[in-house]
Amino acid sequence: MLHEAQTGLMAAVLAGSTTEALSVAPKLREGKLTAAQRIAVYRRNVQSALRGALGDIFPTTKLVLGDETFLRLADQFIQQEPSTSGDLNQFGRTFPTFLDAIQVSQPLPASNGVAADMAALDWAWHRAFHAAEAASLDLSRLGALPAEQHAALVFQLHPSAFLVESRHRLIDIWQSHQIEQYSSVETSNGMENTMPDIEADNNHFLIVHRGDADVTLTPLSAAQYCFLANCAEDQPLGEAAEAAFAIDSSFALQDFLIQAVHQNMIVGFTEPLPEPLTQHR
Amino acid sequence: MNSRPHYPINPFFAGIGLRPPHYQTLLAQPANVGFLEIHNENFFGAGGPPLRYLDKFREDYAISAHGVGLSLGSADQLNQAHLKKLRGLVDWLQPALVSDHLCWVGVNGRYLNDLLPIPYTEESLNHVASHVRQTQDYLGRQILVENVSSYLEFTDSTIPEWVFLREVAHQTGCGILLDVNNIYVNSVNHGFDALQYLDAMQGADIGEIHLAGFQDTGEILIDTHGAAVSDAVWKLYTVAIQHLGAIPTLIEWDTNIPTLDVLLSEAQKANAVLERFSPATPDCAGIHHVA
Repeated sequence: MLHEAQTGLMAAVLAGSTTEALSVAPKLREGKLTAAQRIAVYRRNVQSALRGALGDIFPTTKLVLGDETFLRLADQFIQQEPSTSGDLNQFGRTFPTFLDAIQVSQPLPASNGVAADMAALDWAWHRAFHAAEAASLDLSRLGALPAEQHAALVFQLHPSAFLVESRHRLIDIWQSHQIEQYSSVETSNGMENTMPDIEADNNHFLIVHRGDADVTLTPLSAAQYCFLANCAEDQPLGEAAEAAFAIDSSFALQDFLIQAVHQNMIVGFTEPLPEPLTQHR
Repeated sequence: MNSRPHYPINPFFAGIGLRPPHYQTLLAQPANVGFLEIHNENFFGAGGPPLRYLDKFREDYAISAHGVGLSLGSADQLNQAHLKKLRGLVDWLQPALVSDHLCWVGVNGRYLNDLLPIPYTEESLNHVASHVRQTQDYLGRQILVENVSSYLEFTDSTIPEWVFLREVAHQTGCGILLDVNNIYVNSVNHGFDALQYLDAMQGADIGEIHLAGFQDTGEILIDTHGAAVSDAVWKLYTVAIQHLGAIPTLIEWDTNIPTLDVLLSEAQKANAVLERFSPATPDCAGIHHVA
């Protein structure tokens, strides 16, 4: 009985019309309000909670799209890809891919197609905000190893590190919309304080992570991005560097490695397994 | 788990909900409150600013860990991933109180993320009691279960809400988080006597009281946590304290969050009631109307 009552009430709360809602709802006491009005109170509450969660997690996407378009798409998403956790901080993981698919079927004029990429950035920011802490890497640990072993080391990114690639200047757009209280942003030099052009151009790369206390966005070159992406996929230093050099033969590996360690993008490395010891009698 | 637990929170000193807009003010100048209450799910992450702030606050305040996502009344089995995160938080935080609601939040793996009422039947009672026991066993400690505001009632319900809530506590050894605003809201929405509800409660079962503001649509009261506690709820709270004794009391305010001093002045009002009306020995004989 409990299962039927809840299944019926959930269907009624999510129903598209009063007739549909009443056809699936369990029997409810009426009194001052009709059953349909009572179900409608929950429909509004649920919509408000889920819209609110998406708005909190995707604040920049909301600004890019404008309130009206954002809410229309949020409602569509809520219907199409239901919440599957009692923790609302988990809701919206697939919102970026949902927006990406929407852009194909119904172009979003206000956003020039930047919405899906911005949603991916907002989601990365959200995950970085809640990710685990990690101690900084002491570079002298690296110096203590024989140089010939370096190529086999696998470098680990900070647990809060997320790499984002876009055809839009996401950092500039994000900066111009920034209202969040906990974050700071490092932007490329010489950025003018004007509304950025959101037209797509070349590929742009960035890393979202908590460098110290707060979440930061840092622009990366294609080679730097490629290097870190390889590290994130557990590729050893030699192969990560080779991939980066293939993109940019002037990639300054050592300088970038030091920078990435100092900025806590890279927080550790695993050493290759030691050679099997020869047994001496 | 059946003995009455020790509550290190001073029951004469009301607490407030801990919300991000007040973090900086609270850090700059510690507030004169009995405890702070968090929403557990906002601290389910592995690290970052939320836990870093909480780590600071727990040095200075008793903390109550209040959840909205356990879905104790769901026909589904308890969500193991959710329980695991809750245990991680509780083990680290060692809060004075742990609580969630007498409601369901989702079913068949889908979540509405709202606090929905259950039909109050023997079947539901056995089901909720089983979920409460599982949660307490898993966490290794007592939890409090809170009565929710509701806007509908199932015709299949056979047990009054207050009897159901009391039975859950007695069958499982859990405590009750008595939301006096929710009692008032439901008494208006469903037409029962709020005093009858209070009369069914025993001080020994109540681990915490919640107070919050509601919105009156003209037809129904909606529990918004977005306004000051109403006069009617303050009156009911006074009766509750006279009947139940001093109980740790929390001011909840989650939407249209005001400045900290507004919240603190609400807490002061609760303190005044606690000081003036709580009897040395809680009155077990029954409710007396406030003159």
